[in-house]
Amino acid sequence: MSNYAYLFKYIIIGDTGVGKSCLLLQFTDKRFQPVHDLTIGVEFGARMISIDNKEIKLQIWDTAGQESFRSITRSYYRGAAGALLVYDITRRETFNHLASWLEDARQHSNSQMTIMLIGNKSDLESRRAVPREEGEAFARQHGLFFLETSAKTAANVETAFQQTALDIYDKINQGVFDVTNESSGIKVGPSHGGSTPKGKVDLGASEKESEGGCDKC
Amino acid sequence: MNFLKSFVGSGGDSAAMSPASAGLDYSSPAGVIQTTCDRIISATLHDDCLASLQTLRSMSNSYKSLVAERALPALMSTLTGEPAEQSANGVAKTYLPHADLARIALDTLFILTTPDPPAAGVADSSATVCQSIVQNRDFLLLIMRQLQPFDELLPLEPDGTRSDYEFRIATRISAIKLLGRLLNVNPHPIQDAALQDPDFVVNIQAGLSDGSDQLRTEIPLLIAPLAQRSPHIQQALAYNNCMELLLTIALSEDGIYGGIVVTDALAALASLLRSEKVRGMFLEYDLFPKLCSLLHIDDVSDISPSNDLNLTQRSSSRAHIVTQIIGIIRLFILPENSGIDAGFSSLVSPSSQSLFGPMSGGGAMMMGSMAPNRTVERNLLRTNIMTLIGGLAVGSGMQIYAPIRREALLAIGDTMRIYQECRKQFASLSPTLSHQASGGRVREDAISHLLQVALGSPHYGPSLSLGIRSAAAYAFRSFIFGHPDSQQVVLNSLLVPSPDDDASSLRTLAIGPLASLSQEELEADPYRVWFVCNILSHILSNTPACKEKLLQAYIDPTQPGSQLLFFAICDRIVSLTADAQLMASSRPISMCDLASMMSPNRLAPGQLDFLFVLIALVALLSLLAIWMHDFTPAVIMALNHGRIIQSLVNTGKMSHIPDPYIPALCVLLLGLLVAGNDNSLPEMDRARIRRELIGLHLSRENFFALLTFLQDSAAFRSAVSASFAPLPHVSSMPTVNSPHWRPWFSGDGGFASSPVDHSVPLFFDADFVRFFQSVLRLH
Repeated sequence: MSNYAYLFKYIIIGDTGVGKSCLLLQFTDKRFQPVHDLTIGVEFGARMISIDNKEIKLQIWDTAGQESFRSITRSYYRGAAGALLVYDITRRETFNHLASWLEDARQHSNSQMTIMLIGNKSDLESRRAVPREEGEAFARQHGLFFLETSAKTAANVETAFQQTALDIYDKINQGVFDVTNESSGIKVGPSHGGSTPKGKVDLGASEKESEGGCDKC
Repeated sequence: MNFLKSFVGSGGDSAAMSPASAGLDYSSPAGVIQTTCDRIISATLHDDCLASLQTLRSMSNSYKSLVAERALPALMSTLTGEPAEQSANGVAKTYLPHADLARIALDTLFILTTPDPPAAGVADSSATVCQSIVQNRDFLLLIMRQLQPFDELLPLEPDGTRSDYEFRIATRISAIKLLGRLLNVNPHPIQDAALQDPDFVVNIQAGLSDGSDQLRTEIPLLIAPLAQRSPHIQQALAYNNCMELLLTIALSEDGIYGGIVVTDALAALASLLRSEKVRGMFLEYDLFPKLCSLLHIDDVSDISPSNDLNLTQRSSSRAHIVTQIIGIIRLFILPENSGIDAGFSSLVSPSSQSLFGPMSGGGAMMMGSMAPNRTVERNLLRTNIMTLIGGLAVGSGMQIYAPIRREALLAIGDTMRIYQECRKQFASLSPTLSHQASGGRVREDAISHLLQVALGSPHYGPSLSLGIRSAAAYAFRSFIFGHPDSQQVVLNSLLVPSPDDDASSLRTLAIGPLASLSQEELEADPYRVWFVCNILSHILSNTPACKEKLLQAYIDPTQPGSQLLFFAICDRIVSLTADAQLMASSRPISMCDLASMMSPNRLAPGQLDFLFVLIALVALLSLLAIWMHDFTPAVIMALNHGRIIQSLVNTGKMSHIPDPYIPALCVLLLGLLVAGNDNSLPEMDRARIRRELIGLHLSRENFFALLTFLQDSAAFRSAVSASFAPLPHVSSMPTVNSPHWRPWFSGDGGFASSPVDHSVPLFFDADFVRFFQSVLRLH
């Protein structure tokens, strides 16, 4: 129904309770829900953003973090163009498990998939268990983007999704993604002019909300 | 089959035995099979292995059990293939099966898992082989892996194609067929394995988008059983674009002009759409218009004998596809159509409650009310699909395959309950509709049409099936649901005579069976009275004004001295219960199955009479119960009738009842007569009626025992899922299953036993069942 130039599929992965569903809700509905039911299998949400004056539809798949759903969520890696790998800065173990999540993602996804590492719950500074530098170091080591976010205050949430989209868009421009392939996680939409997008990417107003910016580490 | 057990236990890698070590004669079939299996496992040359596999395949037809006992490890080893890629530490990362070998192995397995035609004294090994395979996770994963295109591992030919491509296609198709067979036997291990192997879903997607027609037509056959009852698989397949690909296949086959390929694709799509989340994805992907476009019908006028859109015959695949598409649309309109089972755990046992207590509120018919889904509504309106479906439902000028019409009526009914704009659209269909009456073309509106069909108007001939009539009644009820104004208007049209009233007028069709129910009329249409009562019940259920209006209605207000309709109904009940008692005591009754009931002429005359009486009694007693509930004037009127109480009690005293549905309904009415009694009639006050009931052996225990029978009966328990029953929105029907009526009151007045329910010829409206349950909850 919506008219978009491209549709990007994202998945959100990470341990249970790190705030994946809250990030999705904050991004799609701009609200925070402190108490959330456990995600069963997968849920999805969608939102339009604008890049380079083109409407991009982000279709975001929020996966269950529980170990028992791990095999189910693996089915969703392959068809995604972007992934948000989330840990909770107040829970050390969620950071320790990142390597396992990343290994899964690398094994089952497209090699071109853009991965954004997110340290969530940045509003809980007093309970921080994972220094920001450590998150940055992990991202640098594995070639990921990195941001700390708060689904509660919405800090950096827009930027996380936007920045991932921007990287995917750049890859399309560079011909890295085969957009005709269904499993690339990208779909050319009805409003796409047919030509490969070129030119400057306009992140729009949301970029200004960024706290500290985002680096491909 | 001990070998199979050991195979399963060992994970499939048990060592092959030579014929000698197995104590076999080399020249016997078993010896040859064993030798062949050994060669397959030990062959170093591809051609040797190929020849041995071909031998094994040819022998599997004639010696299925022998091959099944010995060959599974060898076949499994064939599917493994050879290392194609190595990881950094030198360990094989990817195995590439030889396409030709794998195909023969899969074909052999398919033969081994194919059931033999039944033959005396010969045990069929196929089911055991299936179980052996599905219980071996490694074997299963190997078979599933054969769906992989392996494109990236196949050498590129000069012309740009991949070598072995055709072989790979054939292998993938063999794997699909084998998995389909296994899914039919035991789906759960395969579904579990599919969720363990993320590549499997991706391989299915790859197959659907492959250039090979064969693959594209075979894979939908795999999806339907694979996704059945597994929301996780449904979602994973939907995520991987399978819905869009299935629709693309159906569209490329030209929608309803396509054949079995479209049917299979739609069946697969429907299996995915059982999941609410997947339906959300479907709308999000904007696939709804694509689904509607499969119909290739822009306007109802397109459906006429003059064009080639043949929707009249059972054999027409177009008719079947149209039915499928409407069925899928219904999944979006009413989520409960997806088959979600509701429980009954919240029911309060009547034994712990008193129906004799005071009545208060609630208990009205509970035809489910749903919040509209705005995205669905938007799609319905922008595709204008409900106008088209409405035309298929009530377009009486055309001959349409009955299941299409039934599905269309149900879709219209579902829609009108929830989406008011669609309800208006349907009602506005009236100017375009007409039917061929004896005196010429008579215009009628869509709602009158629904009533005419439900009541079995002679305009539509004797061929109207119960399914169509029931669907029409459901659609009509949906139209008046939640609209008291409409209920009153319809009631007026049924009650108020007009100069045009004739044998086919709505008033005659509706009031006639209530006013004078002769045996001839019952035989002519035993279900008319049922549908009349069903429709009136829904008009009365939520609107006290309608209850009042009907209470004041005369059979024929134009005739001086005409009887009140209420009293006429009471008279009918008195008369029919007497008939039932007489018939039950005069001859044994042997009841029949649903199919027999659909063809009443297959029943013996005595059975026929008895069934007709039961059908009418169920209808009339249900109507009266709803009328009297929470409406004291009707209770007082019944108490004034006098004979009705005696008749209800007498029915309770019937001594030979196998399945006491009628006595239980009578008891329900007695309870309502007590509960709704405001003691305004001194000679019929509550205390007196209670004393009389107890004196007539209708003790509190007996009373509750009968109500418990109703509540626990399969007919009533199935009410929630009634929309999937053979007759829509009618609870599954109890059979009167004993050749003899048997005592249901023991000598001491206690309840004898709880009868066994089967499928059957008595109908209960599903909403009446819910009404009954709510009454029990209240008291």
